[in-house]
Amino acid sequence: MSGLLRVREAGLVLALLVICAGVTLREPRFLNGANLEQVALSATLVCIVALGEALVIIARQVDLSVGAIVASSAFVSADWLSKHPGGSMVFVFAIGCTVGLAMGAGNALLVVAARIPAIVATLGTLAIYRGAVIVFAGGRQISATILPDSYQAIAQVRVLHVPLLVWIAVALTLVLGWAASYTRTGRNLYALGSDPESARFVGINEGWHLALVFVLSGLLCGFVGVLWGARFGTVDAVLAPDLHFQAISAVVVGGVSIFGGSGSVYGAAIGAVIFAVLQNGVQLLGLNQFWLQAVTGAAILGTVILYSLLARRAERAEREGRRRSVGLGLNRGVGAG
Amino acid sequence: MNAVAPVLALQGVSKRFGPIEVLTGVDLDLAGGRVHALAGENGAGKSTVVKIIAGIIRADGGTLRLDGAPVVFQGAADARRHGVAVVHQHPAVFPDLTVAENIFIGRQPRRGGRIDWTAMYATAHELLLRLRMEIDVRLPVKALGIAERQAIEIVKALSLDARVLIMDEPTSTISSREVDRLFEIVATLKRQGVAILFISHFIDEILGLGDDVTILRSGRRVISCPAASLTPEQTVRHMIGADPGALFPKAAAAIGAPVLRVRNLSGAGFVEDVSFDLGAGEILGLFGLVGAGRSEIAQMLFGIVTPDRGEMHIAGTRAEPRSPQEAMRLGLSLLPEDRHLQGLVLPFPIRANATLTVLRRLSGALGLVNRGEENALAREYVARMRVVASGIEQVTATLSGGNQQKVLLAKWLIPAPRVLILDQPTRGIDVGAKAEIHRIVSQLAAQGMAIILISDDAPEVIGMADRILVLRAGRLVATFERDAVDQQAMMLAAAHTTWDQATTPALQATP
Ligand SMILES: Nc1ncnc2c1ncn2[C@@H]1O[C@H](COP(=O)(O)OP(=O)(O)OP(=O)(O)O)[C@@H](O)[C@H]1O
Ligand SMILES: [Mg+2]
Repeated sequence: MSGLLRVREAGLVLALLVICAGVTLREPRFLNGANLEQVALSATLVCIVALGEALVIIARQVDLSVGAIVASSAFVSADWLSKHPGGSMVFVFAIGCTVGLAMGAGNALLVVAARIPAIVATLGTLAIYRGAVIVFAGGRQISATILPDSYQAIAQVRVLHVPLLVWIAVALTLVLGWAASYTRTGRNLYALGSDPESARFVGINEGWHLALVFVLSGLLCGFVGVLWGARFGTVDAVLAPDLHFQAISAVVVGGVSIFGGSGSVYGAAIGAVIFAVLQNGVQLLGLNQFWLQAVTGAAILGTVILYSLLARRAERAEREGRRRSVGLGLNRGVGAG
Repeated sequence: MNAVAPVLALQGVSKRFGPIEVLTGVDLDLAGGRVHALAGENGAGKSTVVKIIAGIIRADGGTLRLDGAPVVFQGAADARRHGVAVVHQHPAVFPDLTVAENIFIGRQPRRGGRIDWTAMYATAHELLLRLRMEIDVRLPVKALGIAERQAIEIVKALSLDARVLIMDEPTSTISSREVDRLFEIVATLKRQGVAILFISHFIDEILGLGDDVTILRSGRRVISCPAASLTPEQTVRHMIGADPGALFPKAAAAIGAPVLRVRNLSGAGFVEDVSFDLGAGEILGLFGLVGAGRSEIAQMLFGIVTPDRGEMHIAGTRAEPRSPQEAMRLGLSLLPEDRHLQGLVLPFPIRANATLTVLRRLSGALGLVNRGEENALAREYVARMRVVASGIEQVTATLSGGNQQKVLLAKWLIPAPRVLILDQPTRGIDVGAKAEIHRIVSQLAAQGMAIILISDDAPEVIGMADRILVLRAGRLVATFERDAVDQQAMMLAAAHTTWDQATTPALQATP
């Protein structure tokens, strides 16, 4: 809604295009249809997780347990399917989502009911959920060979030449982005992140809203868990080990303030795509994986510095613009009154 | 006052925070179509009453009745649903959200299930105009100052169309123009039968606006009666339980050599060519409407904002502070306008806040703070400022608004600067403490400190200052000497438009 936000997202898209152009110049295979599809697919999974993470961070919380939830959902749902090969895909999704929902509710309970700061609570559940799925798996790996074809087909279905997964991510981004700026609940999240104390004074139910974001984040992770298994075929208990890192990176680079209250879900989605392109670029150019980490780190620090500079400039411009209008308003007000 | 059945009534309400009983058996009746003024010293318990009515904190004892029936509000939203609108002493705003959204948070206008941003901006703009405030409703609130934040808080409550309107010091930061407008609106609401609770430290507002007055002292009701039956003197005596000291006792002080010389100071977006001299022992008043540029000048002098142009000399040497630390080394102190944003570390105890500016002086060779000296210093100033607290270790966040202001003042007085800039030093402070602060400031001037006093309170500026500079839209528009001030002319100079400048004979235009 504010001009600054729109500009910020336009800037992100521009940055994305520049990165794509850079990679293409060094390695034209980047634009190859199959390659782009791989990039899109890996972007989608992180993107959906980042959407939930963005809402959590906007509300001045953080969810570190996303990777563990994705792994739990992936393993439990794939495990069920391996034992019921004729089972419906709807059921697989239902199981994955339920696992995510329950784990998100667990986070909500710790943060809202037990009043444990989110960073500590989800650091704890990160270990607990991961530990639980490792124990549940008992070292097993569920490979694509023992799962029905319909499972992997989920990741291969195309609509209008574009993978269904990409459509799903786009749709979720649009829906959540819309909800964040056009529903009262969405706006309350921004308010809560901006000043929790004021939220109490205007009667925003903090507990309810915080529970909502953690449960939603869990649910999205549960959903992604099934997609993850479908995309990679083989599922084990240690998959997505640093997804929390990727998701938070996407959110921060996407312009969501780590202190809550500002930024957008769209930005986080674009951030996820940017990282997918960077990762692909590093692979295509045959660079050491170290470069990916270095580039990711540089991207995070660079954008954060850039944003704070921009914010400071915008604030100054606002102050000055406001002064001028107040000066004029003064004359008008008294002249009229 | 018992002729009309009260819309909202408190009966025997008590509240304690830990070991401290803050309210003891307080009764209060709010009748439709009447303004009930609530008065009392800083820390008397006024805001606590407000928070109980607003559903933000729960009373420990007593009942709250709405239309005669006992109610317990479950949070602020519940109180609002029951028709209770509240202007809090500290504006409950969201810095990242726009002005419009702050006014409508939680009840944004919707169309077809989605928030109608266009309608929201338009309505917010209109509502602000009702208070004669022109603020760009699309700006995030973090770009605004304290006065505008309070205006937003007021507009938010007014727009609720409530049956009960509670206002906790609504007039403490907004300028007289908006105060006049607010009182007009209050009069209209009264005619519409709204029950109003009004809190203020200004005696004329308490007796002028209030139909009924209740005075609290240390959490107990001292008196409740029609405003017409109280004189200002009686009111003050009930509040502080003793006779007040004289207000504005600026003692004659020899004005020495110029300590501060400012030439063509410009910047902060709209301050233009401000020049003045300030002598040792002189109190220079800066008067103007909200947004006239007074605080910006203070911020430029103190190194918070870098000026675009202009010079500043302290004791004859060119000074260009680029940070508050540098300014403090040059002998400047600034008591900032907004204690929450700029002044106090709220989670710290009183002691730590008060001595923050002199920690280096208090620390020995190893950088360890001499706690004995620190405690003594904090205790001395807490006593001098008459801070109502359980002791110097009480957490600053839990002090009443006025007592926080006193701690802030102590913090900037303790370093004994050469030039002391006071931006609204007595805002939200009760009469007794206000007299005390005036006495302290006057004493400091007599000892040779050069003081800049920024205030919206015209009688305060007139009473305290040796010379008054009036600012409007970032420019110096008039200067008044102590023996030649005229409140009317000063107010006019601050508010009037360019075209009637020539028609105001009482003004001495600044060269
Ligand atoms: N959360 C809290 N914990 C401990 N003490 C508190 C808390 N909130 C308020 N108090 C104390 O309650 C007393 C009354 O505070 P209150 O804010 O109601 O005063 P007030 O009459 O509004 O004063 P002011 O004019 O300064 O605004 C003060 O002594 C304050 O220190
Ligand atoms: Mg108060």
